[in-house]
Amino acid sequence: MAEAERPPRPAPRLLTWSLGSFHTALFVAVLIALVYRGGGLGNLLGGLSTGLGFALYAALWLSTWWCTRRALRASWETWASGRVDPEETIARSLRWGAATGGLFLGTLVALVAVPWLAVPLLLIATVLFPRWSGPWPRRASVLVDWIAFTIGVLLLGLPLLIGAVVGLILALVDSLLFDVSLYLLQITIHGSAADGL
Amino acid sequence: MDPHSLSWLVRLVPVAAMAVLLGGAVIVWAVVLQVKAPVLPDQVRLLRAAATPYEWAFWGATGLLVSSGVGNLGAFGAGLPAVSTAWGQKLTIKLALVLLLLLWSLVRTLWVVRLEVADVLMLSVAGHRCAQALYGGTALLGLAILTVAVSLAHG
Repeated sequence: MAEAERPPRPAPRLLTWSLGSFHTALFVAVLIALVYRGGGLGNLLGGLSTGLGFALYAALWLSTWWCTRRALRASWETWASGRVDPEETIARSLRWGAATGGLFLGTLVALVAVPWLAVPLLLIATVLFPRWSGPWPRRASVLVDWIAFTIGVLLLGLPLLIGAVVGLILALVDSLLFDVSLYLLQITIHGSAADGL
Repeated sequence: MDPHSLSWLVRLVPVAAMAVLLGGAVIVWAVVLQVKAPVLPDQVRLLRAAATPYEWAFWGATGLLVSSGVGNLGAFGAGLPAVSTAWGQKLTIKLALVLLLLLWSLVRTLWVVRLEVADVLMLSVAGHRCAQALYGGTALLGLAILTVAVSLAHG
């Protein structure tokens, strides 16, 4: 098979898991901090029980993990090597950030409509699905992507817009932290001038 | 689930998650401290064997801590103390520390992922110092967050 036809290698699972979890936690923590500084946090979260809070967070976590995984699929090797194409990064972060917004609402609707689906949905998505291979999981992936974008469009594009903006900001943060970790890897292997290595 | 069991679970989840986050960081930090620089292949394998499971557990624990934190703030409702109060200032400090821990930890995890992907077999003196700083920093930040959280819980 020619080099150009080689399918992209899937990103390391730890990379997908950590980035998906990081994006979710950072988004929620920044949102909480900003709303608290503005004085509206009590009213915003009023009536939220611990169980409902966890269900909302789990829906966002699942959606973010899924879209991070899809965004990294074809791009993580360029990120890992430090050869990032800025235009491609911006387009990818806008697209998958928007998909996260749609998928979050879709997951939320599914969990509210059929609460007993929560545990099987989480298990299939995070434990079983990444281990499956072949045409059916690929088709299922495309179906989930379409559901995400369709829900976003049906809701007048608002979740897509919010997701796209958040996705772009997170891509900038990721880009900076990837560069820091690349520098750390280089001194880990070669040492710094001060070490005399 | 009856209210008593639910209340017990609500308290157990963040405590267990913090134990994993802080205890795990201290364990990996201890492993890093007991190897000598430059770190040779057998010791690098040992370090990676300790660090990689911790990174998986860390992000799971972080998700549980943030989600339970949101739920706990929601329980205050409109009675949530304002930013200008002593309690509000402590909460602001805690949120700032959480943001710092998240950024610090992504660099740490990316460093571990890069070690795996590049199949690094030796760590330079600077690499050993880097590992000490990454895991030591995580433990200290975790301890600082725990201290503020205990203070918030007691008013």
